[in-house]
Amino acid sequence: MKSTILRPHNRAHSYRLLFLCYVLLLTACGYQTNDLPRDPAHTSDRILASGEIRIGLIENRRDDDFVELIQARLVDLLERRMSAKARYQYGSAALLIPLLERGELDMVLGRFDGSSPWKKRVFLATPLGELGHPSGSQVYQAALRNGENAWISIVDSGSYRLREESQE
Amino acid sequence: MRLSVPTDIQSDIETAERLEWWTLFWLSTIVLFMGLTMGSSQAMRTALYEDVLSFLPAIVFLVASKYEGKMATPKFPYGFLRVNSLAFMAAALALVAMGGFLFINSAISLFKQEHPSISIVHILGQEIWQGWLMIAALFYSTIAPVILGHMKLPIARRLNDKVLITDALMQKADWTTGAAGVAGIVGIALGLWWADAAAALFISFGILRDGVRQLRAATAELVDGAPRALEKNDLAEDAVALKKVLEKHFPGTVIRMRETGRYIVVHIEGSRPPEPMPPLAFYWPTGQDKAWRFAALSFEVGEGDNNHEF
Repeated sequence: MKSTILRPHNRAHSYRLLFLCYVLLLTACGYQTNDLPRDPAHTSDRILASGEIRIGLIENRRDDDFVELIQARLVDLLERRMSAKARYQYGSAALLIPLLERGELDMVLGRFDGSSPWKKRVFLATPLGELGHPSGSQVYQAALRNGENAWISIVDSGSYRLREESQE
Repeated sequence: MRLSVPTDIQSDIETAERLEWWTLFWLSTIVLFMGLTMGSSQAMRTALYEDVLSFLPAIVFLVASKYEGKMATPKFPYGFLRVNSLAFMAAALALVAMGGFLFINSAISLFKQEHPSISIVHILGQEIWQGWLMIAALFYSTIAPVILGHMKLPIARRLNDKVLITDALMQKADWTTGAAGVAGIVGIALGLWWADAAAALFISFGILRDGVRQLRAATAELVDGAPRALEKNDLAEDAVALKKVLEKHFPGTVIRMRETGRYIVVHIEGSRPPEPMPPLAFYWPTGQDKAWRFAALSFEVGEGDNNHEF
């Protein structure tokens, strides 16, 4: 048996110090900025710089005047907010969502239901409206690239406002 | 053998019990607040699960202290002092589970390059980025653990209570994970998608290290290993000193010691008990407090002889 003496936990202290440095570093990075959150892949910066919003529209034969109206209102709102013009690409969700994930589109608009396989791969903004469907109700909403939190906040805010207005 | 809790530590045990009830109360409010503000942040989600896990050491301490004071029964003739050892194992496992959970989750997030999405919420007509709310919740989650953890440590050392020490380590894990969560959300706000998972991964190493050390000590206690130090896996200083004193008094014997909860139990082979038998505190090494730790001394003269237990 060997005798032991209790010593302070130097290693634990150095962990804390390192962690504190990490927090300070991150805080320093964000100092003097009021443009938070930011997009890791710079989606909103690119839209502002290029003046173009690349929108994918999921084609659906069931889409009616309501869909066209609400879609136009959201696009109009985003065009004004970002001082940009929309450019459309049409196709199925299977074609458009991978383009969104790769950053080749900024937003995909279409019908999604609760069991949509895309739910985990993209961020779905506040529903713009509920639509009838033979297999249950679907919602019309914008899908956005995961993690692009500035752009997500802008689109989600617009979607929320439009939904509130349509409910009044 | 002593079968009940010594009066020297009774008031400390009562204080520790009060602190554990406070811990359960504050943890409940933290879990509620974090649950309400949780988004898809990795650090936020793991901080919440981990807060749920951290109920465990507080609960097992309360259960163990309730049993520890009970008198021996025909079915449990040695009393319930060893319930503390069992509780120590449960608390150590909870700490390892928390560290492991945090490590695996954050490593997977980094490997899969998951980009956490955090949007806005509407509160009282105001639009707020949910990340700021998460930071408020995470900051709140660090306050009580820092205070309670620091209050528990001196009591745990006085009581030589490894469950309470493990619980204090759990509180440390709580506040560091909360702080990691804040760093993670700040990172996300700055557009650093990896900051969240990296902060959680960084913190998980410290928690795992603490947890594994406590688990090794708990295992040693349950398999009748020699008494271990409170905050590391080395032998306990007072037990080593006690052995030296006993070797002087009983030369040429085999001295075995183990830990039953917070108490030391000694068995001496190759000697008869002295006549008259002095109180156990007589053998307690000078310079070491907590003489109450020495709870039992038994003698075995040799094969076929009677055992004498005091």
